[in-house]
Amino acid sequence: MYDPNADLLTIEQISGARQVLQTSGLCYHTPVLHHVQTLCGLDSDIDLYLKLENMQNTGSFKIRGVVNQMAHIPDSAAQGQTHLISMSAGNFGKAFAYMVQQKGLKGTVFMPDTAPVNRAELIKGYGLDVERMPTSQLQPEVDRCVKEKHMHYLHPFDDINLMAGHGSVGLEILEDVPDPDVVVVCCGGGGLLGGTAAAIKLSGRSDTRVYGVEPEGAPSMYESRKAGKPVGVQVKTIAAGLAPPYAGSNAYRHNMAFVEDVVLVSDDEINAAVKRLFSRGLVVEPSGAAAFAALMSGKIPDVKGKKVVVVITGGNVTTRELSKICG
Amino acid sequence: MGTNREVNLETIKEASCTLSGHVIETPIQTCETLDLLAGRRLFFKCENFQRSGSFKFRGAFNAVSRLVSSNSNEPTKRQVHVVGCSSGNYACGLALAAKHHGVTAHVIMPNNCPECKKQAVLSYGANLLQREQKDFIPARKQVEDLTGAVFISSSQHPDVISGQGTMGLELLQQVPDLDAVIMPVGGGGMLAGVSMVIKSICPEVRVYGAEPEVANQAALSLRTGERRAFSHFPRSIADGLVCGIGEVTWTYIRDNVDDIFTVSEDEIKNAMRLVWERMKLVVEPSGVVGVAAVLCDSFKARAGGCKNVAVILSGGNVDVQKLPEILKM
Repeated sequence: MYDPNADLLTIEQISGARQVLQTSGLCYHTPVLHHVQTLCGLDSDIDLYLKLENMQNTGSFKIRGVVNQMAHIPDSAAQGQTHLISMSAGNFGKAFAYMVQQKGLKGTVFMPDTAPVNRAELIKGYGLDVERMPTSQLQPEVDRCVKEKHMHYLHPFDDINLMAGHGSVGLEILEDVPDPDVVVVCCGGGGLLGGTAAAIKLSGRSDTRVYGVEPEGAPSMYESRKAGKPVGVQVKTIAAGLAPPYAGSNAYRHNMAFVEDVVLVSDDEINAAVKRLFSRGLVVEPSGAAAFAALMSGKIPDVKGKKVVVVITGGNVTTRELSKICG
Repeated sequence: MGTNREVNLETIKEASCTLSGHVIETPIQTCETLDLLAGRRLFFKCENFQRSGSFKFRGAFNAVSRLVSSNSNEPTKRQVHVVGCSSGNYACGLALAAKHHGVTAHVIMPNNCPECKKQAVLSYGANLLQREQKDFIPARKQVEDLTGAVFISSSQHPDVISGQGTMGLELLQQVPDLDAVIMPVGGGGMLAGVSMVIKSICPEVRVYGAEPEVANQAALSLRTGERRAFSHFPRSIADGLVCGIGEVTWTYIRDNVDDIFTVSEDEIKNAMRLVWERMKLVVEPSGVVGVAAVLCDSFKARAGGCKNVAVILSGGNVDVQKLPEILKM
């Protein structure tokens, strides 16, 4: 059951999630590139590290959360008696579909009818059903399936077990870079940002500043911080993976507890980041490049002479999409 | 300090000192999916991250640096000019190395070279001449006559070969228990330099080259014991590998390389697709030929005993507009 008022994560929950991930064999300890400020065309007085979650299994960090989330579903679901459902046209949908297939279970993914057809085809390729409908009908349909058909819903970004799984990124960062000054993370629903920031702070790194980065066209967490509560916003951005229409309730509380600030980047700045990373040898999708975009456009304060870790969150972009951005 | 005619471990270690602080010690990446497909552990040396986008910067920097040092002994201070011929990546490397040293670079590139390489060369401030490949030599002579430019061959110059050899030194430090190293071969500078290092320090480690089937001069030469040269430039998606090995690199390859594997155009594209999709790395077709080779049947047949294989991803300079057509993704 999704609980929007879950307690804040503990370090034990995050370490526990890490164990689950390691046992599953489905998640990699992804590489960190060290001292790549010159490679990335940034000022030489920033000591830059890139955490490459684009190289994660299924092409984004999402599998981490999904693996831990699936380890906490009710027995009836785990044994295939209850149908699993979720909502996502993007990387969560892909990771969820992959996981359902791995477990030999049945599932359905709901997605907006505005999502590209290839996303639906990709998920069907894992053996799941896909239902496409207008965005406004998604949540009511999910609610109906849970209430009337007794299906089990996995929240795509605000589930506490999902966040604990994502928090493993923070633990890995500290293993490879024990004393970062700044960590910059892309923020969509805020699950990765919340989990990672919690992992870093709860590991004792009180001096490490963790920043979230959102598109200007989807500033749900930024506005939530200003409003003092999780809010919804109108969204319009090329970074489709960072554009849920509202900040998650659990993610918001973790954001207020552990995150220094949330900064915004324009679509142009995101595109410039994708282009820069591509020219240096990395396949990064727009949503995955937002954190780097913030550093590249000087939006992260006080980085001169500091160790800065930027999380590259995903690389699921087609060559045609990349060609349009970089051309 | 004149041009050293021989390439040996000493010259390569000297190159390493010269390059220190200027060249990126590129990381090693691994990928479980590719390990499964290859049936062995693969260690990818990411020279696509190298400055100017390929390993060529190493050789170019070493050669220009040594030229400038030797010139500094001259009584009259005059502008140094260098000239090089290249399908692309060496032009970028030479242009960047020259810019760093305040040297004027003239680069001669083919008419159909990738746009990104042309743009890079111009952005580094080099003088660009585009010609048909058959007109390279006259164009080069013209530049030499007009400017007194020193010609630095992209693969045959000893200082260039020594510069490329520094990858071998890094590999031996970065990958414990190495059984083999495989890399693409065009002119043979990388293969000559790296094989020299490996065979000097760890002769039991196997050294392999990888070539497109359509441009298999090196493979044929190694098999027959005689350097083969094609009368024409073959056409391959691996545009950086169509020139054959030269006299100088042949002597080192003949003595230090264990085998050379050839791969089809489709195998090259398939490898590029895998590296793109599974490793999220931008590697150009020429750069991924080593991966194609390590996945092919003949490698499994002839080098099957090698458990830990380093694969050099030599460059990542590819035109983004060409990607949908090459990768079909």
